[in-house]
Amino acid sequence: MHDDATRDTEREAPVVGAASGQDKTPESPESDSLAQRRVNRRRLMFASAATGVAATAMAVPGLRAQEATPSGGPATAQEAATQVATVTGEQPMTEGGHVGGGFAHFVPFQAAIVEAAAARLVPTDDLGPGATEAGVVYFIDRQLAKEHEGFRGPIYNQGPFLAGKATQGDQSMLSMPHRFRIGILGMEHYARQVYGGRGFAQLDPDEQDRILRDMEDGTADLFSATLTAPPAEQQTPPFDPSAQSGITAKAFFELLLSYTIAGFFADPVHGGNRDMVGWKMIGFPGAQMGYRDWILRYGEPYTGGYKSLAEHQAEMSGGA
Amino acid sequence: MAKLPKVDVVCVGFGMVGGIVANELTKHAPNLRIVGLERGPFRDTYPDFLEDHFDEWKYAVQSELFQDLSRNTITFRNDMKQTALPMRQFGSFLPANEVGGAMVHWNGASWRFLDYFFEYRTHLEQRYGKDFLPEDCTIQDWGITYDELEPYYDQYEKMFGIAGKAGNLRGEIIPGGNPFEGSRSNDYPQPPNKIAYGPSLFREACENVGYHPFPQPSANSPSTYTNPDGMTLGACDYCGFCERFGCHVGAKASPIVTVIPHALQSGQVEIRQFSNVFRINHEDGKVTGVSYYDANGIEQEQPADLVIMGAWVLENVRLLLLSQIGEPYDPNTGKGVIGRNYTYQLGGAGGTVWYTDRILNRFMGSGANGFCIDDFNSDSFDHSALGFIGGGNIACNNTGARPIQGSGPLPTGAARWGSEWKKATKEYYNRSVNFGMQGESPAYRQHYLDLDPTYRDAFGHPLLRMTFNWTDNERKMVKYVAEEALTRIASAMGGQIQEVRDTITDYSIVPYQSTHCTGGAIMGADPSTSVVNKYCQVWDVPNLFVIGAANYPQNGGYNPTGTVGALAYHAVDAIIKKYLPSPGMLA
Repeated sequence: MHDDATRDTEREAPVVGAASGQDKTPESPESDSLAQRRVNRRRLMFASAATGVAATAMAVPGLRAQEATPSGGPATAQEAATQVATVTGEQPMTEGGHVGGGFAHFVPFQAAIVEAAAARLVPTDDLGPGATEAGVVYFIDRQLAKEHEGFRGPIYNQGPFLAGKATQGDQSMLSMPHRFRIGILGMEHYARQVYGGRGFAQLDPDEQDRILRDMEDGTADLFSATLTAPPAEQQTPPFDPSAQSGITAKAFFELLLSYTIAGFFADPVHGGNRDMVGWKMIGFPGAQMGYRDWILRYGEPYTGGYKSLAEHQAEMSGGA
Repeated sequence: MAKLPKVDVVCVGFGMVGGIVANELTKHAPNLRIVGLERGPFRDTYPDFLEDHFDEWKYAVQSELFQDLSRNTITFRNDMKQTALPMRQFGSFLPANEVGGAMVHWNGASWRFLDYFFEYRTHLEQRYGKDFLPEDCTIQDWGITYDELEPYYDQYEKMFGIAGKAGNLRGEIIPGGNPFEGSRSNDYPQPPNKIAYGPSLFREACENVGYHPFPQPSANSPSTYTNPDGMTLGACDYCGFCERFGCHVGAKASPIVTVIPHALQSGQVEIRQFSNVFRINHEDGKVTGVSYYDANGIEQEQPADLVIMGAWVLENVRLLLLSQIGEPYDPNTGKGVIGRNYTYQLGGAGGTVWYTDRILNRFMGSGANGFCIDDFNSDSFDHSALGFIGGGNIACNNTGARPIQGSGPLPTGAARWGSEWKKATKEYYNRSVNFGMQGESPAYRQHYLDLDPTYRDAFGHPLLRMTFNWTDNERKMVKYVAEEALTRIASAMGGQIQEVRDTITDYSIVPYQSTHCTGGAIMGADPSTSVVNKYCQVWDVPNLFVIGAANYPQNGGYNPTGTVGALAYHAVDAIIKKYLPSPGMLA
């Protein structure tokens, strides 16, 4: 069918790539040694079995600290909680009138980063509401609770898993929730490297845009699934870069963008597009029965208002 | 495994083919008992689509009505040297998973192939010489002519209430219709739809350039319509939710509002939902029935005297291979038939015009709501100096502009995110008109279907493997039509920004293109180069019929659905008049 609009703008599911080598860390604007130490101190850090510490504690605020790390992560759950509060700031995801609140899939740490990223992809600006007002993070949260589905619904997930040609499509075994898990941490790690230990949600909008652009254009490389426990003051390279797997920064960017735009435009029944703000921005009237009396009024702006699926269903219930 | 009591007829898949065949059989053979085995559920106009269908995320993006890929997909590679890998998510095409088949979620563009297209190889060789065809091109005549099929096109159009305007009525060219079409015995049963603003601008431009625009033949019923069986279609609301959605008012012609409910009324038909056929059983050159997994996944054997394979294209071919019926095609020797001549639908030549001085209400429309030209389809134009064969229908349809997938397109260079993206999307969402070519897909020796050696479905059976790519012939076709036709049309349409796409590279399984997969169980006059005769009866297996787009020796420059309808009516007419009185191979 000549559905060119669909064909041209359909967001293709991103491809998860393999490592292309060493992490490329761009010049940090705060690359003096103090800033660098802060990067290291705050850097995503895992205590490995090799150091004799249980591999659970992370120095990333918002993640539970069950054990002290040897290098300055939150020593106690209380400290971790304080850092959560710092990172999530005013916690906009708990405001704004959403029903129920809370997250079915994300932990708040993840949600804060996704919400901050969505707010840059579809910003709140003089054209009106953006991803934040639309509740995009809640839409994404609900989708990721469907553990075995991809952006396009059910996926074939039997092996063997081989890296194919681009024409063969995404071949990764990584589930969508795990892509987000690795991607969010990778994004946070990258932000801290670039901006002296400040996490993504703490950055200014321009700084967040730079992180997103680096992901989009591939300046940021692989968001790796490999855990290491480097000494506090230096970046240890992985034992073998070619052993790293995960999701490329670009692929994760494309996922974030696809889900954000879907959450901005999907019917509000799915948790985003609250008050139909996405539709109102472009003038899409939503779940209308039709336009039989309008279709031949060429060029005349439609004035029939907006309707959500919930309103349609309420009208239809018990009908026919 | 249970062996069930024998029935007269089993339909494998219960979409358009199963519905048409079962419905006609019940009318003419009142003693037959017919079982339809369908892997999906029955979703009806009410309550399913009336109460729910305006949900782009659920239906269009998350694939509510499509084949469950977690259970069964295909593997794909561009050429024989590659390792085929599974299509893990949609996807280039969208097979259905429901009673009524892909017509439940189609747009409704309903075509007849051009008359000479049924003897395409003969036609091209006569006009241009035998050396004109591209290397390794294996296009061939169908073994049936347009004139033989015409009454059945007519029957299909009446049963499904197709709307349009004849361009060639019994040999007379009618202004405003398609002057290139084959002679029709009757006009369309319904007049054209109310057609939206964007396509009207396209029509005007085509007229100004000197082309011959005509209304898109459409299965979106413009009025309430009662078909010859007494089944009624609703009137289209132009809601803009056709492709990937069911219809909330039963206005989009499909088996669930026509042939299937009528067939069920007879009491002769039983449809078993959630039933996955995995083998056609056969013995001594005759089929004995089918084996399938029932709704609980339990293996069942259903004996039958007559089996109609009306699954979707690719599953029909896979089932033949899994059942070891017919000789699998070998691309190295050119021998064998099952899987031969797999073809698709050529896209890639398209245009977009953006108007900053008007809005277009792009969200109002229906799946087949527009205008078309055939001036560059097939052999409507002289190819002798062009170095390629084929062409395509060029169309402009207002299919609706659901915002997740259709908030664009934006002009090249527009931002993909951020405030600039918002600005561009707000500015252009309701101001673009898209049009493009649906091109022919010639068959080639090296493009085929077989069983994958590695990957399996949820039940442990091999997946189908597709080996396919575009060739230089198609790249030239896209380039030529884009430069020759689309740029002229874009220019004549005016608008402040115009873009034309004129380049294709390799075929990719990733972006949606069309659900117009064709071939693999092709029809013909010669058993050494075809799977079925002109009645869709498998050579040497008289009680097995394979009906559908898998029968096409190559795909034309049109949506394939209308011709499936005609082939099904032609086949069942032969079954009723010739096969049932005297079972055996039909001559």
